Amino acid sequence: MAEAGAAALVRLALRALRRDLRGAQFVLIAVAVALAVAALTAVDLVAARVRGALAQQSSQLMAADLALIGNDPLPAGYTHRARNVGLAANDVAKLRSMVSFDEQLELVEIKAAGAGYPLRGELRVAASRDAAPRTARAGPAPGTVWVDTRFLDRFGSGAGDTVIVGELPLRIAGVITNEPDRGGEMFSMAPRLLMNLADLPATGLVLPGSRMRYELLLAGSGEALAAFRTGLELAPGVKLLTPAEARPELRTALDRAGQFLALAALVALVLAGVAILLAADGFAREHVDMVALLRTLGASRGRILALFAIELGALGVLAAGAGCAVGYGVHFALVAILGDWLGATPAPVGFAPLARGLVAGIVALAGFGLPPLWRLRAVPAAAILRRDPGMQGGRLGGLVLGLAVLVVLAPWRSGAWQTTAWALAGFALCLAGLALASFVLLVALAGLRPRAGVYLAAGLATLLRHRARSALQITSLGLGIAALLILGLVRSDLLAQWRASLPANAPDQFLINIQPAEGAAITGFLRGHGVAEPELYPMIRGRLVAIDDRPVDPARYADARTRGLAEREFNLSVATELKPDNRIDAGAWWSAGADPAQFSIETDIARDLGIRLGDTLTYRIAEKTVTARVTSLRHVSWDSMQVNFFVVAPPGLLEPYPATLITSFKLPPADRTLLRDLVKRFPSVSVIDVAAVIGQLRTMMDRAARAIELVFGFTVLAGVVVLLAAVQATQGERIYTAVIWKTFGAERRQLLRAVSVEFVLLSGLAALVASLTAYGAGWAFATRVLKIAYAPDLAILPAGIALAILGVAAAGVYAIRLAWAAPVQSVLRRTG
Amino acid sequence: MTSAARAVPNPIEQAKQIRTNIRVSTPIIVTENLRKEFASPEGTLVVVDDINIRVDAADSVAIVGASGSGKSTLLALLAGLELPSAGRVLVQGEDLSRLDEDARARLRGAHIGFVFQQFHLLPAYTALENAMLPLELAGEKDARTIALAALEAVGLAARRDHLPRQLSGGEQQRVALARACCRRPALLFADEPTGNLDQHTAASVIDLLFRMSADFATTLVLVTHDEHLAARCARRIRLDAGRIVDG
Repeated sequence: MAEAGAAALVRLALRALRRDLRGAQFVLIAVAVALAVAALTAVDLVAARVRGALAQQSSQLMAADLALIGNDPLPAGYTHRARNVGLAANDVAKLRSMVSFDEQLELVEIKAAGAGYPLRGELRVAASRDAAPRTARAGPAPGTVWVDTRFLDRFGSGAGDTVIVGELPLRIAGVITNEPDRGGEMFSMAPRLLMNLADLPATGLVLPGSRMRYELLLAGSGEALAAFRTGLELAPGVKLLTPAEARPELRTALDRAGQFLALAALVALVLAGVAILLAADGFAREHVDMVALLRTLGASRGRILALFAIELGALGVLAAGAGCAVGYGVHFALVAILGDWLGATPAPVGFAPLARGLVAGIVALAGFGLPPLWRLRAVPAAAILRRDPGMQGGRLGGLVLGLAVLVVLAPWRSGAWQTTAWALAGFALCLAGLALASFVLLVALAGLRPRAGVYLAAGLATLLRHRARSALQITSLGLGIAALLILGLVRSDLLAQWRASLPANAPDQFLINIQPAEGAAITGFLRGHGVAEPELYPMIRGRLVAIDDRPVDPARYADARTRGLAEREFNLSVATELKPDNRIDAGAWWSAGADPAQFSIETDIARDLGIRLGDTLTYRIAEKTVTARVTSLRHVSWDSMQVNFFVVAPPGLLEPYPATLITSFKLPPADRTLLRDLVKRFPSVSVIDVAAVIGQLRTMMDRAARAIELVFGFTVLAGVVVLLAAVQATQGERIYTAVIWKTFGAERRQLLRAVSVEFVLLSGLAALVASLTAYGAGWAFATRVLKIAYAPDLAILPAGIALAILGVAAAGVYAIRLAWAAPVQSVLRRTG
Repeated sequence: MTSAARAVPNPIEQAKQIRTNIRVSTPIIVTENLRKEFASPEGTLVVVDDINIRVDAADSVAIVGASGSGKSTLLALLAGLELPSAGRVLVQGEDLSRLDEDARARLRGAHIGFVFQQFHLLPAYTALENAMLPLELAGEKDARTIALAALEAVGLAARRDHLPRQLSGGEQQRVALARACCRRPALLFADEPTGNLDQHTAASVIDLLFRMSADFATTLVLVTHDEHLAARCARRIRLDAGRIVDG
């Protein structure tokens, strides 16, 4: 054959594509790519929507999609910029001030909001304490205020009363029952007063030196928000607050959900690659004769490879395009299922996931599909004369190259480098372990063969005939199983962690300002109302004045939040035992009777304030100072909603200083009157009700869990595709064997038994090695990326192995049903 | 396989005894108005038409004809590998069309052996495993011993652990012959058994084929376009365009 020009080659390749699409293997490659891209695109799109929905819901908790905050009035330029890109904007000012009513003075948290407040979330207000609340579309009218029940309790006032804010008398026109963005301040002790921003100047409270906090709340479409943020320059002292930063306990949940979803998408990609590799390997085997013929006719190796590359590329574009379309459709179906919580107007996701799916499909096809075809270049022209052309070796090389492609592709797709690095390290580990183990096991199985019965011998014969191919099958299946097991193990951990961190009995009421003398009475009161063993913690207010004898200068800290921490008083506490929701990151917890001059500091705050293990800290408490060494750094699970402290000392250090007590408990929903009785009996005690916040958090976690289940389910489907590819890749040989067996008198059940043995062996070996590697990789992912304790549900491993074996065997049985139906005569002629 | 049969030391002698007990005039195959057609882009293609034959036990019949005359299709119909579009095939009095796929497989396993032009040995199986296959499928406990004896009979006992690709064409066909005969079938179908062999190898394989079928008193149905080979059979059926023109 004369060397064809490029155009002729393309024509040849396209003609070959048309012909090959009539054969099973090429259709299988196309289906593998299409399904993989569909899975990938759908996972990506759904993940994007889920992220969008999660962000939207946490937006409700900050009453906006984005906020700018500062201690000085925010320049009007921000508002103009926001309105120019189509964002809704609303100003809010916050301050703490004394408010008077009926000759009483109380410190109150004042929020002065513009007309559009809140931009996100629901503000609910009742006309009086006992009236039914309604959803407010705007804040209070000028001349009026809305207050919370704590305010009414504190002043003994009611709706219609007039309170004096600064110099301005304002009438109480409503009682706030739900304030979307109160969550972040739930531990502030002061009652809430919400007033109209227009009234603020008349109060005379805004003076130079007043401790004000100004917020510009923003809300709008994802594009508008992105446009606002692009090139945004923040003036000194102005900070941008995103939903993820609004609530640290939510941020953790969002981060972990995001990382898990990124891993799920990555696993879908790996599964896709494995399926492509298996199918391409089968395709290459079926094309040995054709390549030998082309070589006989004079085609060079380069031309033959180019021919296949063009054909594969064209197939990739077609299949990936179809996959994108299917994935887009499937994602709509998923959105419809999730509808109610993805929001009435689903978050816009753009076409980026589609483009990424398309490119990923084509690149994965090249990475995993070309190596098997590359091996065809070793086929000599003489192969036309014999049936076994010796196209050996290089199979695992395909997996290695494919995974290398993933290394390049994956971070770009998942956008999470650390997740990707650990996941790929896990896959590499699995790959090495699986390849090695499958070779060793195949050698061991060879020893069994002479003693095997007809069914086992049949299975072994198929496995042992092409050891390299069997090793590839075992490794590929194992990789797929391992990927799913890793997801399964980590998923169970993640969900368990969430359930454990926010148990049904998580406290939703906090009592603070309990005088030590009242402690016993409070405990008795709560016990009398059915609260089991309320625990009281001492709380001592102290200000950090020196680290290692160097005075603490708040101005030294660049970050506003850290500066605030350095300025304000801390709540210190005393503890003998480490609380269950605390974990020592560095140093050691004190033993009973140890030197009392020790502090244990929460790890994050220690990092922010520049405190290291072994530093000496000096606190000023009630005009005296107390000094002790930091002997441990603690991780605190704030999302447990339990009482926790940044700074804890052993018994003996803080006892001489004035302290109040704090406790928390879960209020039975039917027992709201307990709170009123409590306030009446202990008027100086403050009650903080966080039931609504906990409810929001729980809903959020439930939804994130559902999202994870959903995406996980989809990745499992991608695994099923690998399974089918593994079974289909050897289907030609299986049909031939089935026909010979049938000719010599085998009944269908005999064939089924033989094939079951083959597949149980194949999948059993794969699943065994996969489960071991998955356990290790799951540990790495849980502890290194998600930073959660790794206590996997080990029942998942045997269940996973059993499912894998069952799945593969079922696929094999299905395959043999097809093989059984194959017409004997035509198969014998074709394979002659 | 009965326990009485196993008591006889030489399986070949034993098979002979059983076959000679069968009345020679019993028809082992009868076809009635057999027709096979396939759908093709050009319309219905009739490959085999109006075939009425009767083959008696221990007979040897050659089906001859040019390429495309329908020989192999007829053989597939006689063996129950394909079902006719019309008419019927009776093997040992059983109407194949009335049997399901499994029942036909059982019938083949119990009474029929095959030798193909392309050998059709399973590539993953050794020579011995290939020869053992029909015995093992029938649940024969002494499968290994019997298959080894069959390999011995075709002169390949020493190559028993070789895979098909390690054997020459003639050797592969002898393994196929051992596989076909190890259950001492009442009926042996051979489809161009020498088509892929050189003259010398073909002659030795054919000698073996006729010797074994004589030894077992097996009815031989042989498809060939080789007139010399056909001449060794007791009867010839000539096909042309799917119809019997002679025999």
